[in-house]
Amino acid sequence: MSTALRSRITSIALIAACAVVLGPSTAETQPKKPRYATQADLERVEKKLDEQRALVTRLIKLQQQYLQSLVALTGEGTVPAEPPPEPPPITAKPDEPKPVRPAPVVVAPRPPAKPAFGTIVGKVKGGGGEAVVYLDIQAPPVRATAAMKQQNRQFLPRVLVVQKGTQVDFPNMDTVFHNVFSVTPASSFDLGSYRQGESKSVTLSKPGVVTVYCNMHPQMVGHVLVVPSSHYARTGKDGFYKIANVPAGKHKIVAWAPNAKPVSSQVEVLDSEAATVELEVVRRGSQPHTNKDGLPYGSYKD
Amino acid sequence: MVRTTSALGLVCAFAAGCSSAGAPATSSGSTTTSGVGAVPTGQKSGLDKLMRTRMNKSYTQLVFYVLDSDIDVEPAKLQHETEELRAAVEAVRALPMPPMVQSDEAREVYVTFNDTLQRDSDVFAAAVAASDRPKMEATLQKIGKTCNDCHRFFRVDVK
Repeated sequence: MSTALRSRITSIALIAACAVVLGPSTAETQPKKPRYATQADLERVEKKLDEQRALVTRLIKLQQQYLQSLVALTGEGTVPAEPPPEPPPITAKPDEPKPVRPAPVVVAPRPPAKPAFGTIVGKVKGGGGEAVVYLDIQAPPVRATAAMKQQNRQFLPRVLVVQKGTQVDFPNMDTVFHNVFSVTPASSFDLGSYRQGESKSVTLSKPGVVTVYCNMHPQMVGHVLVVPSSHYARTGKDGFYKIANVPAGKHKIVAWAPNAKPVSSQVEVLDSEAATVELEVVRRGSQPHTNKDGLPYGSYKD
Repeated sequence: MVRTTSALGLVCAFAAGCSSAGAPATSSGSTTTSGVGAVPTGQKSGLDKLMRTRMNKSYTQLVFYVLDSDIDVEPAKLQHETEELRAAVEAVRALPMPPMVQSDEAREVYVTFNDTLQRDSDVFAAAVAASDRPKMEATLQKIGKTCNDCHRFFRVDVK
């Protein structure tokens, strides 16, 4: 018998032996029985649900962080510190569609409120081109400096407008001594006499008109108008003025000119609108004044 | 009736104010050098003519259409007069300032009135396009107020 024939017989014998040992397949021959959910299946589903809930909670937290960063950028709106309460667990029921949960409502932060500003325009009659118009709006004192020179035996400028809290310097530019003083109530001061090139200063913190004189030269008169806020304007030579960027609302507006009593009126400023106010001041002639001791000026000579 | 009377008063004030806008200043013969856009005094500017022939006409017509008329105005007519008004406002802005504008501060006031007028005429045109009657009425009255404010300051004979 040849080797090839022996090998074929061996193979056939092996196949036959396997067929006898294994027998027919039960899976192919028996009908399929219906399979019911077991306790293990339910536990598996519960576990999956728990995983999904954990994922949703994590997503909500991430969204929360995103919204908080947005709020920090815009500066408006609020986001609840805690994530929304977790919805009740869903009971898994086989062969039923899963209930749909509503998506979490995201409230967009409000846009920042636009500040309302308007303009006041108008004219002051009787001011001789030296009138000042200002609003009686209280603001914190400023840290600023301004100067009123003493030059050619005059104060220059003759009228100075400063915001309350401003330091006013009085440099002496003349070859003669000067002595700047004021007897204005609540803003009185006496800087003493000082020579050319020197300067002394005073900080004015109370709104109002501060009239300054020189104790040596009676013809020297200056006016410092201390205003309560930055909302003021000097009129042109024809009396026109414009005050821009005025907060919307009702305000008291005051006009003043040297040697005139302040006059005031009420004005309502609307957002992006121009209100018109006309005022009239009555100027008196310059009044004689005394020296810093309340006495008439002597026959002082340079 | 009250509305008609007030509207007529507005028109009268407007018409009176516009009648001699740009009239010569008191110092005739000299040239005003101060103020931006100042015109030589003693000469009539184009502002007077423009006010009489265009601005006053379109504004008065619009007051009739919007404030006084009890009948529905054809949208095309309303649109036409609105465009006339806007064109007149544009034309005023292109002209030299009246001689009463002497200082830089006066120039700012005059420009403020011009800006307000242009903005409100644009708002009015938008209200016409949207057929928003209450907005039309309110805006037209604002335009009239701006006209009167401007005339009060920059006309010698209108107080």
